[in-house]
Amino acid sequence: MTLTLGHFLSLGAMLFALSVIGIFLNRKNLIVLLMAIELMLLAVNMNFVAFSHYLGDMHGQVFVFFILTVAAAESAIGLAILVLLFRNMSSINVDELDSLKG
Amino acid sequence: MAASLGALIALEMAAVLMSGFRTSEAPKVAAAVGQIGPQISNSKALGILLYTEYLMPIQVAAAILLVAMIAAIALTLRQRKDSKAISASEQVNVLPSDRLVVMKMDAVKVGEAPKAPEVPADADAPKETKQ
Repeated sequence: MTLTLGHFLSLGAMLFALSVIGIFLNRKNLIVLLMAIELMLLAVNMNFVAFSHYLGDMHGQVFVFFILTVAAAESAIGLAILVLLFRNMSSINVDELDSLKG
Repeated sequence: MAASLGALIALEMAAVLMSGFRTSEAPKVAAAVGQIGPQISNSKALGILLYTEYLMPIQVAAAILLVAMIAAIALTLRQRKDSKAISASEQVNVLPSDRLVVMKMDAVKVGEAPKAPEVPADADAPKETKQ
């Protein structure tokens, strides 16, 4: 039994489902929320690489680089905002961050 | 409950994907766009593609990373309130007149109560000493 495209797509789908479940299960920690979002991006990357290899097209793998770049920038700014939030509120508990009263 | 639901969703997606793509075993599209000959390794092909066709997007991505780095630093940088650090240039540029006040007074004999030094009325009043 060889590895087919379906195996890789299944892995991507599992990663994506894992991150969605992580977002909905997690009601405590903002850091875990950020990690779940990163995992979602990695699932998308998985699909990109799988299809790129499947179709013999390098452009998908190049696109993965850009996704990784944007993910890195996003997590850097997200963590910086998290640090600011903890300085101001002394908490990163999601339930306590309701000062906007939305 | 949510975890089991998630597992169910993942399994279902996996089942659909596996049944959908099982038969199509790597058709290897011959004249795919951006395909470089099989004699070049994957990393080398990626590098060639990145630095020729995707040169401008790479620069933009680098700029995005730079902006992200500067933003993260600017957001989290703060001046500590309890810091005892001193400004070196302020220290070097201090003038003697900032620290030292020369007063004129009469000579005083030993054992004699000194007279009150006559302070000039308004001729250079002693400045506030810094630090």
